[in-house]
Amino acid sequence: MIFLRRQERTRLLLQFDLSLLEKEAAHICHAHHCQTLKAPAPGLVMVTIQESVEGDYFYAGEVLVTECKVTVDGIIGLGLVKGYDTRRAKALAIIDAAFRADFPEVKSIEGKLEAFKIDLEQSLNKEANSLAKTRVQFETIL
Amino acid sequence: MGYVATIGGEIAIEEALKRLTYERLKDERSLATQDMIAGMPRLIDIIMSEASLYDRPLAAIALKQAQGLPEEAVFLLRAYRSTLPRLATTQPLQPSSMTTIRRISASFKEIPGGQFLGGTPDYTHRLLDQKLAEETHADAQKFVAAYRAQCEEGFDPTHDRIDTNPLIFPEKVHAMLPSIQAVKKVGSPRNAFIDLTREPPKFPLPRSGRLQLLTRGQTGAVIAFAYALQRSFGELHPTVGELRVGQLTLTVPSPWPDETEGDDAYTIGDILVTEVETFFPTANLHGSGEKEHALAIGYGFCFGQNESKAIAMSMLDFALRHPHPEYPSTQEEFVLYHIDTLEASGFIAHLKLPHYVTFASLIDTLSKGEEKGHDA
Repeated sequence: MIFLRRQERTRLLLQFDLSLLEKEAAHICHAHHCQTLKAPAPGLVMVTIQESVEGDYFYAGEVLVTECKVTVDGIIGLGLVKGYDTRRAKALAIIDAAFRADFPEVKSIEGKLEAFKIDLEQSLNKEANSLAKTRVQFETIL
Repeated sequence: MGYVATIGGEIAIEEALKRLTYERLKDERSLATQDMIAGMPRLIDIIMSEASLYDRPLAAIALKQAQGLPEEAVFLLRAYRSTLPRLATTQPLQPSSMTTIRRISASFKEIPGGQFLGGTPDYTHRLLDQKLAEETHADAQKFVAAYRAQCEEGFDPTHDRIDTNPLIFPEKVHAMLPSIQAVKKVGSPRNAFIDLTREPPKFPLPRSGRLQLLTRGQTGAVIAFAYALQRSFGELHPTVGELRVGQLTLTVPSPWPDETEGDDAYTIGDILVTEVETFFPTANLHGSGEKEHALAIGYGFCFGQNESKAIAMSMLDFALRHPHPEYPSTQEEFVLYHIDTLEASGFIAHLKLPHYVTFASLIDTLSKGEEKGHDA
C-alpha cells in the first residue's frame, strides 16, 4: 500500500540527495529487470497559468526539463525534472516505475521520504522565520 | 524587390568571428557561468522572461556568449528553444500557491498574512557602494554565515510539525475590496486559450494571447508603453493591490490514462516568478446616464523577479481591455507587435546587413528622377 501520492512523492524526490536517490534506483534494478526506453534528454514543458482576475488561462513560457523513461519488470516509469539533470531524471524514472508497480522496495523509500519531509519542513520554517524579520509592522509607525 | 544572395566576404566573416571571441577574452579572463547566476540573478531573470525559456544555466551561457548584450542572449535562447521538443504542458497553476519570498501592497496596510519586504532595494538611497569592487568570495561566505545565524535567532527547532506551508498565502488582497464588478470567481477559463509560439497572432487576440505576449515582452518596452499610459497618453494611475515574488511549483499531469487524479500529477520543480494585481478606478455608465464609480484590476506575471515589468504588464493588461482611440498604448496591435525583443531588435538589426541591391535600385530611381528633372 502506497501512502505518498505521486505529486507529493515527486516533490520530495526532486530535493532528495542525488547519490542516495541513485542508490535506491540501483537497489530496485538489482532486484528487477530495468530497461531504458528513452535515455535522459532535454526538452520543454510549457507553463500554464490561471490568472486571478478573471480566471483566464495563458501560456507563460517554457521551462527546460530532462525526461527519461524506463521499464522495470515491464512497468513504465517516467522521470521528469526541471533543468538539465540526466542522473536525477533516470533515478526518478526507475523509482516511479517501482511505485507504479507497488514493488516491496517502495516501503523503505517512503519511510526515508517521510523523514526527509520533516527536514524540509524545518528548512521551510527557518525560511519563514527569516522572512518574518522583514514583515512590516505598521502599527509601530502610526 | 526581395533579398538577393551574394557571395564573397567568407574570409572576413571567419576573421570577424575570431575577433568576436578575442574581444570577449582579450583581458585573458573568462567569466564563470555559476558566478553570473549567483551574482546577476535579476539580469538572468530578464533574459529568461524575454526568451520565454526558464533555465538559469542556459541563460547564463547565452549572456556570456552575447558578451552581456541582452537582445543577443534572448536570440540565442529562442534559437536553442526551437531545437527542443515540447514534452508536456503543466497543469493550470495559480500563482497564489507560490512559496512567497516577498509580498507587498500599496493599497492596504494590513493584508491577510501580512506584508513582507523580502530583499528589496526600494528603500535604499541608491548610493554607489564602491566597496563591492573589493568584495571577495570569503567576504560573501562571512556575510552569509552571519545572516543565517541571525535568522535562526528565536527559531524553535522543536516546534510542532506543520501541515501547511507557512509561506503560501492563498488569499488575494483583492478579496478585501468591497464589491468589484471586474473580479469574477476564478473558475474555468472564459476565453479561447491560444499558444502564440505555435500560431501567428491575429488581432484582436483573446486575453490569453495578449497575456502571453506581454509576459515575454521586452522589459524596457513593456515599461515604456506603461509609462506612456501613466503620463499624457492614458492618464492612468493605478495602485498596486498586491505584488508577490516566490517559487511556484510546477506539476505535469500523468501521461497514464488510468492515473488522472489531481495528486497523481508529477511535480517537476519550482520556478521563481513575480505576480502583480493593480487596481484602477473606473466608471460604469448606466442606461440612465448615471455614472457608477468602480474599481477594475490589471494582471501582471513574469518569470523571475522583475517587479517593474510585472507592474507595467498589469497596466497594459488593463489598458488593452479598455482601448481608447487617442492613446497608442491601449491599442493591442500597436503594443503587442512592438514589445517582443526578438521581433523588434531583429528588424532593427537587419538594417545593418547588406542591402546593396535594394539600395542601388533606390539610387537608380533617384538618378532617373534627376535626369527627368534635367530634361524638363
